[in-house]
Amino acid sequence: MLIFGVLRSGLYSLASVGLALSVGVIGIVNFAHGEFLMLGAYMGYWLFASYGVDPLAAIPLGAAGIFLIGSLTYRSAIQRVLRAPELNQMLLTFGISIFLQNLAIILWTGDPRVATVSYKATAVSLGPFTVGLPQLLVFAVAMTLTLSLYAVLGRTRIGKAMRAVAQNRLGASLLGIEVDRVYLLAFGLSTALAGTAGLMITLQLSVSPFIGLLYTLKAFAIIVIAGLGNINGVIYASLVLGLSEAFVEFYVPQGGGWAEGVFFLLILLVLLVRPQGLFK
Amino acid sequence: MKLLRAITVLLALVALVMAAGYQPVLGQAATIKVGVIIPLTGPVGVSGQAMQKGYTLALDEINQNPPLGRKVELVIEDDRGDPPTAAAAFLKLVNRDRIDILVGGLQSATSIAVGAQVLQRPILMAWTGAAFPGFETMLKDADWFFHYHPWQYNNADSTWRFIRSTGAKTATLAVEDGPFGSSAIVESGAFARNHGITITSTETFKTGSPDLTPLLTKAKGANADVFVLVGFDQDVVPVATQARQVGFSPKLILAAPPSWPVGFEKLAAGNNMAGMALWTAENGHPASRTFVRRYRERFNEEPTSYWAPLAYTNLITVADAIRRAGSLDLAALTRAMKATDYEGPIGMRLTFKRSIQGQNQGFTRLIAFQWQNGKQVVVWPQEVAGGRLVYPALYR
Repeated sequence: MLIFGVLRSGLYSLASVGLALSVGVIGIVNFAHGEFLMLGAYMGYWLFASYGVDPLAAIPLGAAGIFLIGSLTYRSAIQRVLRAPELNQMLLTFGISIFLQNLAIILWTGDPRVATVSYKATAVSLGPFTVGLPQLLVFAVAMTLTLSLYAVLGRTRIGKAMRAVAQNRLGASLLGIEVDRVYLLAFGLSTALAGTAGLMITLQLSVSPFIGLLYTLKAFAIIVIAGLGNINGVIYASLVLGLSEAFVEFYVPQGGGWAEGVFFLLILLVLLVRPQGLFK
Repeated sequence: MKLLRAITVLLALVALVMAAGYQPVLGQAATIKVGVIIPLTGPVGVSGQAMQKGYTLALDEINQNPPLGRKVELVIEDDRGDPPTAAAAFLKLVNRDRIDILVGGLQSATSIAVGAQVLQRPILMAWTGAAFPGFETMLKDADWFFHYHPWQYNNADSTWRFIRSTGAKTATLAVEDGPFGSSAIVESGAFARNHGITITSTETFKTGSPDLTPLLTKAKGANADVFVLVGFDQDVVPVATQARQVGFSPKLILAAPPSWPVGFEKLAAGNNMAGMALWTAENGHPASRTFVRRYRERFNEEPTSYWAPLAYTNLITVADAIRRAGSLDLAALTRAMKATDYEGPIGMRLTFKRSIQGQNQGFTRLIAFQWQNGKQVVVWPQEVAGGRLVYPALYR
């Protein structure tokens, strides 16, 4: 159960780190985050179904495509509500979420679709344990990308600019940082990370216009557990959620039904007991 | 002179009015209007679109020899899977379009919304949708209501009959925790017992869960002959793949989602999984083969959903009843519908009989199929089987 929990936390961290970035840097709660993940999943599916491109190999193209869509969304919609009340921002992203989901239904219908990669059901032995190869690959990709993001934020010029903007927008702009460009980059990157998580879902599951909501909810739970805006705490928070779910599913009778409620319980507990998050 | 001009204009007007009044006699007879309420958009829009194609095929055939010498016209309304929209669609069909007969239907919720309206304005309702027995209760006294799709308890009975036919003694259930799954838990216990199967464990899960490995590991420990999944299309892929990853190989994995994901036939891990359905394109019945061929020719695609032949059957039997009734009078139509005896693309004989509560129930049985090398091979019941069940199946 420990291994199952750890492996699923990889996908959770990749699906959440982008949301943490958009909340932390831009200060916008993006309810359409899961729909960018869904678009990434469709990109993975169509590249596989039409050209036989493995979803792992499709990551650069898929991430770039979703980055472009995210940037366009920022320029055409998000940018206009940055100074508006938070409720307006949330309603806008909620509207974008509904729009993208219905667009996907119109374009590709509501039918789930399967990318039949050859190793979808393959298991590998790790010492005495047997784990699914796709889950292992997804975990490796997710950890690599999440840690790379940490490195970018901590060590590069643009990363430092993002952190500066996150801390004090006005101060950063006085230092000559182009805040709007940083926001654009952060939002594009946030959606690209969600899109990559979607590509990874293509490896394991079927794709449909409705997969986004579940990951949006989990991503919210994770960023609350980590502490709003705390990008570094996302991996730990994902581990907490992944392990809690796996243990509840396995050890609690009828646990599968309860497990999905775990994230609501965790949100509730964290908000009541430690509102700043467990890892801040 | 002025008077003459006025009389001429008046006569011309009278002639125009008379001509308009006699138009039906001079021109073609008025069409028979059949109202159709189906979801063409929304989450189940694909099934509704398949129904529309089934109706189109039936309409082509019917209008080659129109009943009562009047062409049949379909007035199609999209309910979008939304109950208030479905109820409004019915009101529009009866009040504005003045339909003679109502057909269609897919989901239980929209069917209930339409049924509540039809109870107030009775019309012949030849309905394909809804498996929820609450809908049957609602229309239990309606003589003019003809239901084609099996009820939920018919589905459960077929499923456990099929499991018994495999020789299995034990089963473990994995059930999604929504209304679909919770009603299945109640029914499964009773039907499994009736058919001599012991349910060793029941586990619930949230539909769409990406990781079912803990559930499958537990099911592996239960060591039952058959693993029954009561979930939706997005759940069959993780079950097929993750069962192999955790080394779970019961004698049979059986799932009955409303539809299967596009591309599932190419998923190697899905081989030997079994499913329940009203119809599959691999059905060997001659009428089914003809239907598949005509569908392919007309739409340049394969029929993948049973909703297409069900809709076809729906309209063909209604047209046949109109012919036999000789009029559109509700009582005559109802009598003719009750006398329906039709064997079409579904591959099973359709007659209307009393059900537990309803007056006129059509199909009452599902068929079982097994994914074998990318094809849905019908394996039960024997009379429509196109191949043999691989049992025990290997999922390693």
